[in-house]
Amino acid sequence: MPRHILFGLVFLALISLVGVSYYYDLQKRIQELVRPGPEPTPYLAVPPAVSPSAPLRKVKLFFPSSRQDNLLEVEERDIRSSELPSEEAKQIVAELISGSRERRLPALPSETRLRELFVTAQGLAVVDLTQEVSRHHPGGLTMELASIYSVVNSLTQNVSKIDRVQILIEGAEAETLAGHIDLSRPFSEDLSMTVLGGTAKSSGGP
Amino acid sequence: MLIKALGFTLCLALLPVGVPADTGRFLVFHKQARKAFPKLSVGLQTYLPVIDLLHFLELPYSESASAGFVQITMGKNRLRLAKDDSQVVLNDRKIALSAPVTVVKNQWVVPLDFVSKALDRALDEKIAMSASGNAAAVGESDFTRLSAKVETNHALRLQASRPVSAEVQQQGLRIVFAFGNTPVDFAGSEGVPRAEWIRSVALDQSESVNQLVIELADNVRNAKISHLASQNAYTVEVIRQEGAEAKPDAPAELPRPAIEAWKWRHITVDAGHGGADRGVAIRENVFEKDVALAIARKLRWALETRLGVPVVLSRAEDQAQSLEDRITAANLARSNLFISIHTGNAAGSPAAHSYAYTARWITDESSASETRNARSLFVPWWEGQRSNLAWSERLAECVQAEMNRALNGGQPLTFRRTPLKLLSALAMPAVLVEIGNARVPDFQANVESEPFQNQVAATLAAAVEKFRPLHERP
Repeated sequence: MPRHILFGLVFLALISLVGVSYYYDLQKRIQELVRPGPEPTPYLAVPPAVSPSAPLRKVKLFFPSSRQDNLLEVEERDIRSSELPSEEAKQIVAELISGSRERRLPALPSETRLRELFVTAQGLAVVDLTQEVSRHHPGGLTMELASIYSVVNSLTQNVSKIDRVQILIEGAEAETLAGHIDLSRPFSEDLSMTVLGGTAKSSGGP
Repeated sequence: MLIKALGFTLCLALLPVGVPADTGRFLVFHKQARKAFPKLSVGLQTYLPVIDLLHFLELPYSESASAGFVQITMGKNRLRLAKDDSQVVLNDRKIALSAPVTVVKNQWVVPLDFVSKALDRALDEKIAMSASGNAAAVGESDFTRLSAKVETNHALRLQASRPVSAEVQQQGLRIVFAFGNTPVDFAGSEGVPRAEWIRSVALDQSESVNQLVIELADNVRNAKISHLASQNAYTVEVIRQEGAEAKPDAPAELPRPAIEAWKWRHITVDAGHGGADRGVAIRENVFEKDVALAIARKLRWALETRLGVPVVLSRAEDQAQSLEDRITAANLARSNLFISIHTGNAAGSPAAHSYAYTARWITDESSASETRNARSLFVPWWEGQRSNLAWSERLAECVQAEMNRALNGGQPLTFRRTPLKLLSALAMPAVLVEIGNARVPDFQANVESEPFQNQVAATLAAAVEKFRPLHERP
């Protein structure tokens, strides 16, 4: 083989090698760029604007009892305190979605995400949940009622500037959460179906 | 709110054009047989399947769906029905019906008055219609009309409009007058006597039975039945248990809420969920929507036979229906009673208890002031239940008491008040019932069984039967 052809083939082989390795390197970089990073705060579409170094405060969360129908029980959690009531409220809803740590029933389906939450000057908290709250809800009137008042009572009991709670689904007013309870109007706190501190209290219904 | 009000008005305007729904049965007596035909509701009109009727009456006919006519031959008479025409032609004479003849799901259907206006003139035989309009007797000049009246503190008189003979059977506190194939009609709500020793008097009429059933209360020890043939009457004399005599024959045992009552026209039974909304998953491939529909159908039958009041199902098949559509249909039809059937799902409870629910409003200052302002002129449509809440709670008491006895093992459970979307706008006594608990294995195993569903339907029908004399006043 003539010498100049041999040099040409070697040169082409080198060029191809460099090209292929460059292609794979580029693809790797693109994948790293488009790959989503770890979710900073699960269950929230928009993470709360709180400082990780803000002091912790204890809150009382309401979860449906696994021992008795039509009853909510209280569980304590820590959240980061904030001057903005909506930021504390977002953490409370996220904790509710994450579920009980003491084997109580889920307050909301774990697939649910909080789309947005804001608090008006009149003390109305507007809680906007994703459609999974309905789609993955187990159904039944008592479970639906428990889900609603888990959110309502957890917010009104822990955030002093919240008096009432309006629940939206996918940014809009929904007829019901799972086919029964009217979601068109805001809910006020109702502790009639609640056991505080784990002791049973007679309840005449919701 | 303005948008809601406009939407509601639009619903009222559009409702007559609807999906046909099965709204009960029309019973036809002919020779020694009788047959029940489904009454189909299209918009606000009730229709009958005419071809099935012609087969039962053995009338020859010719039909052309493409040309759009049915021709019936009755001796020398020719009766011609044209599709979408509210006039039928008897020989050369036109007869106007209340609605056009039409074809629904490949089935020729005629409005209910076809029987009395057209078929009656075309047949050589007479056709008698029952007072309720739910039955017809071919070849009869009239139904034998029955009425019941309390004569003394211990006697009930059953009066027939003409000579009639019945096979009388006494089964404990239940007395059955079986009339064979004689077309009889009971004076319905006007004829239901009130006494503390009578639980109910109802005509039980279907393809299989044709009987009047008198249920006596638990305070009756014995009953004696006499036939006064010359007076076309039967008497039922009762001997009550000791101590029961002292009680007066008050028409109602409890104080009535001071709200105007009226005679019942019909009842709406609502099967919860439907279509893509499956409700609770009770077990694999068994969903709340199917169980609710099965029970609702059985309840319709039980109510119609026991009370003689027509029953409308808010959904007669597995179809999606919004809560607002269900509310609009019941309000527009001015239903006298509304029962919604659901199954329970209480993961926190090991018991399969059944509960009745009534509406409740969430305390909210802004909505309360809105309501007060609106109340000066109109009741807001989404609060239509407010004026009926006292009656709904009375109904819920009756339902809960019957369910406690028959389904809850005698436990003294009370009904619950909840902010239910469905009930809050209904302008009639309304309850929602949740049957059992989908998380309890026994309930999961039994929920599809016919005996269980029949028991639930009978329990709810008994509760409505107890509520009726409290609500309905002649």
